[in-house]
Amino acid sequence: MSSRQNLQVTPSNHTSTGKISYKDGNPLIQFIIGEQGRMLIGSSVRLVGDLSIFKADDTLSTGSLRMSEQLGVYSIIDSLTIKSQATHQVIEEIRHFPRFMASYLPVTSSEQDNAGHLSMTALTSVNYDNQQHSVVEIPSARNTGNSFAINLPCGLFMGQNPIPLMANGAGGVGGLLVEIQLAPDSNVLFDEDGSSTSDAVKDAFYQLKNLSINCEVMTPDPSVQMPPASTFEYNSISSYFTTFNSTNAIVNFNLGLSRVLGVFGNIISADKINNRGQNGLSNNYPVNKDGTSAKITQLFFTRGGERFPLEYNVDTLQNSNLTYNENNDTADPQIVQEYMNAITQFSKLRRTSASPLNTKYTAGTPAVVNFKVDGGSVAGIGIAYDVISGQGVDFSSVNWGMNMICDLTSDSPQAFYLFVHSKQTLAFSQQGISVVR
Amino acid sequence: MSYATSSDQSTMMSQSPSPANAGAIPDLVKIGQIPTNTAIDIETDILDPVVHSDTFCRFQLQNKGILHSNSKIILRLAPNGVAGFLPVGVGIHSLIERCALRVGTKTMCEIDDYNHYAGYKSMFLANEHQKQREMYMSGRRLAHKPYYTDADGANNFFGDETVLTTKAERVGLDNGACVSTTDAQAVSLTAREWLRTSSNYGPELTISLQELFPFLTQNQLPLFMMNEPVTIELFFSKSAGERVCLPESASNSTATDFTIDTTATQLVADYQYFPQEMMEQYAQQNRNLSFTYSDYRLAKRTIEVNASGSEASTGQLIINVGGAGRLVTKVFTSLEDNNIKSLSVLNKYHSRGLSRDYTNANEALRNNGKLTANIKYNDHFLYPVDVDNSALQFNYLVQGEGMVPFIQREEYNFEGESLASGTYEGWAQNSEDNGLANNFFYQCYKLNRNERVNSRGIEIYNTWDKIKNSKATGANTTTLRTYLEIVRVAQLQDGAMETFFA
Repeated sequence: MSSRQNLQVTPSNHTSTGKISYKDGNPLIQFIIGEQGRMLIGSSVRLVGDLSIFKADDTLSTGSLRMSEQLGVYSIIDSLTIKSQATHQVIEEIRHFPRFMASYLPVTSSEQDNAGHLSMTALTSVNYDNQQHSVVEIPSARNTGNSFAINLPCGLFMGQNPIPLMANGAGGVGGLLVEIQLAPDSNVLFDEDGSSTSDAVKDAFYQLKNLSINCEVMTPDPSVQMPPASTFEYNSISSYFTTFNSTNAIVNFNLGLSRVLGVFGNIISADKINNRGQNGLSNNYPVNKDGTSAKITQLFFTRGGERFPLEYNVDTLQNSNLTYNENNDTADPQIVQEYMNAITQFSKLRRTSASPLNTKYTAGTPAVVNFKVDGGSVAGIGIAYDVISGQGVDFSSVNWGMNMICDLTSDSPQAFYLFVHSKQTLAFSQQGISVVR
Repeated sequence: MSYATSSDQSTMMSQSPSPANAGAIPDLVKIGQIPTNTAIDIETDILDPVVHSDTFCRFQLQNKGILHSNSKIILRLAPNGVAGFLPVGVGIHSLIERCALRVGTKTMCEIDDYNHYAGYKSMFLANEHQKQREMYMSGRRLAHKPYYTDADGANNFFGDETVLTTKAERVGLDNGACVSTTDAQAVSLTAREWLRTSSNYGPELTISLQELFPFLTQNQLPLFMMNEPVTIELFFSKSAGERVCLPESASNSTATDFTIDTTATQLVADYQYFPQEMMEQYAQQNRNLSFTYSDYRLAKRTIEVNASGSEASTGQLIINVGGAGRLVTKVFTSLEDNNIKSLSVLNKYHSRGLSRDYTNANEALRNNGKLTANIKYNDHFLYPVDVDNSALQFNYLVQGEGMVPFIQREEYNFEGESLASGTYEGWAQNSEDNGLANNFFYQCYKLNRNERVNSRGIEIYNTWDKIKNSKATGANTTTLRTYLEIVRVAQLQDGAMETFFA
């Protein structure tokens, strides 16, 4: 009979003080879940520690300093990489991790989740002011800080099958090396009033303490012989980045993935990224240079140059050819629905934060973007390719494309973070491991 | 005979149908899907208790059909001149101190301090569910929402978006009433009419059988196959101080007895009938029917708290909570402040966390207290390193139950100041003595090694930092309750039920 054990793994490159921060030059944190005759329960993996936030002079945070209430502690992870410990081959890498979470979390968690268990584990909140008051400005920052214990959403850890940690020749991945690249303070902390030089935010920084990864491993039944070579199937997230700066945004990528389940992305004005005066992790629809919204009037997706899976243009409420009031601020419901469907099958989506108030078009100025209700903006664009068979659509040899017409009439580059949800296969044998994308 | 166990309830509760006939007759007892062309008749009986007093009642079920697990027991408090309200966390469950399901003379399932057990289990009901359904069914209503601040500070929110700001510094209870707050969060909520006593009304609500006897969430009782009488026994909590909470305005009425209206107590029993042929065949094929299920055993221990101002760490306490020789899948604990009873919104059905110091002039000394916890059984600790991170303890709570608790951060580990100071029946919501803060610090340990506990039993290794004394003067006590989830086996052979530990 198999049995399980709990493990606690501390960083292999941690500093002697036990305190880790981007500011102090420790942007990379490594955890080694060593090669052993056991299997990792991916869903049990938690990054655990204490988070504190300070102003430049090491004083407690006050005033207008904020972090994303939508993401909480997820905003500090810039990228997540999982490698084989034995071969250092990359099994999965999610770059722009907080941007991915900025789509994933609000769409799949409700107001009650954000006010409840996610506030406990990930330090999120249902409102920006609540998060600022209870997390950023916690009076015990110098001592105990904010404790957190987050899962690391990625294909490998969210899969149903245990991950064999055995040596390559014994049917396993040869242990795992989990690398977390910390996000710069300038993209985590910001001044809610839009001043990048205010006393509250200037050189403010976050600090982590007592970091560890906690997980469960399973000792297989000794009577069950592990095959020397095996495969492991999981859903993975691949990230892409581009910018657009015109009324007709045409985005094309060669995904190189054979089983694509869905594609989704979010947008932010490029000048907001790594800017202490702006929330670099906010989502918004495109905005013009003067801060006015650049509403989307038409959208379609292509596969190999053909419209797919929708064989028609999505003409939005703001399209002047239609009879609606083109000046209204309501995001087109089909855009919102397709976006949510791309992240989680819409018919199975039981809990979400999306609402008419946080999906509508708004100005991009700090006075608006930083003060949104219902947990912050849930704007995004996406399309699901396969919510029925789960096998996905082949984009290995054809380009993926998106064609969007919007009112972006000024010089205002928009950063577009694209995430592709696809099925991948990890094969391991004595010769090593390989990822079939 | 051997029984496979698993922490996963769905597999643990499964039973093996006779291989020769597998697929021919659906498993009528196991809750799940059956073919849609199967006709099912439901017959509802309204059963009065065979014995009833203010401290005890007993129902006897009729041996017919299959008992539906969602059958309900109706309970009503008698009208009372003092306006007591049901605890926010457990509702009408506060009335039941102990419940037992007996078949003949055998006890199949029994939970001591059931109202405390319900306090733990109720956390896992979604807030939306509590607000929209449980408030009307059982009186549980722990739902939250952000308290948005009024733009003009006049507390006059009438639904106009322009009057309300986007700012909500605090989160508080949501019982369906509109609230708007100033920066001082000066909101005052009251319990809904049907949840409190008055001189001519007593709250009448229901409890389902599967909440009283958790194994019924996976299995139903085939009463038609049982020859012995099946009885449900309820032992009620004390009439003064334990059944309802008192509003601040009635603080001097703690000695008031809140009695049960015995004329209203009924069991609404739903019996299911499948086609006669199918039931007969099922009974024939399952003359020897057995299934595993979970039962709960309680261990209690008192922990001393020094007088206010001189509270100190308990040091490491090693507490043996039993379980020797048993298959134990889970252990969960609560810590009741014995001084907190009806003068609060949760009554005694809470679990105290540690003290915090957020106001010390020396910033380096401000802190949240920690519980350092581990469990040892079969000579090995459950965790390789003692766990003192409260978010990780919360995570183990989630993993142990397979479900997230819908409680707020300050309610669990007392970190941050996010609860509103607005009142509920006069009690500040962010008060740790009368409100919600720091009162849901439950711990859960999933014993995942799939081992039978040896003769030494299970030992909890806990070190509490300072536990705040809720008394103004003098020492105080807290009660550590530890529930062990133990695997048992029920065997129904020729109409006679036997139960034993797996």
